[in-house]
Amino acid sequence: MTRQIDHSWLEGIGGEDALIGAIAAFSQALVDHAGTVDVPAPTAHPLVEDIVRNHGGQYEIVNAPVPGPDPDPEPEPQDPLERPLELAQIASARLAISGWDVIGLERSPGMSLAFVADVDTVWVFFDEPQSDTEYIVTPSDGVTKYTDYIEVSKPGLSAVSLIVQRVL
Amino acid sequence: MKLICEYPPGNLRNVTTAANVSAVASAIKNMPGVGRPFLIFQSLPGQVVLVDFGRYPDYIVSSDVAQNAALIQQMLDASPIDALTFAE
Repeated sequence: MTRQIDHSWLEGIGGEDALIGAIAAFSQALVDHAGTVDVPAPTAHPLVEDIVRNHGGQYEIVNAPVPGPDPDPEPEPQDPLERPLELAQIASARLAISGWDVIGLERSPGMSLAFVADVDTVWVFFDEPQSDTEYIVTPSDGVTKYTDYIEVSKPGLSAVSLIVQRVL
Repeated sequence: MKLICEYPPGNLRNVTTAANVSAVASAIKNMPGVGRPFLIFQSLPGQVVLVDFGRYPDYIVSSDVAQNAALIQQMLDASPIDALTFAE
């Protein structure tokens, strides 16, 4: 039967590598001693002798400490320019335009009014004026930003889809 | 809905609005702005080229959204279309 060894005992004999070496050395000493006469029998640490003499050199370490999780690595300092932008959508709208008339308006809260202001030019109004024009409009081509409204101007304008966001 | 107003003052606009009365009642504070005349219609048969706001002097944008909503509802119930002249 395998000899069970509490993990804490290994510290007293120099660790598991030392135990393995001691078991091998003592086993070999017993073999060598078997061919001798009037030579005292070899001795070893009582634990080693017990493992070799009574358990055929077999042992099992129990109660080994469970390795804990790796400590969290220190976060690397982040370059502010590389930090991903956090955006909040403040409004969106989709318009269909025919001549001098906006014939369809789908919108989110934040944009409720639109009209054709000039040839191929539409103004889409915010419900509340913006504090500045530092907002982001997607798509941006043909777009001019104002605090009260967004102007979209393109040749042959017949439809407009806008998403308006701000950096948090 | 259709909003007829001037923006900026002196420039007549045929505006398409959201269908939500509450949203429009709030949005007209921004355009045409508080104190400005406006008319609202469920729909219009053509492009408006002239408007006589003087026929409906009470239809003025208020800073009170509930008041604006009440005015809009009045206009939807009894259309002030006789104030408009359409393009031929």
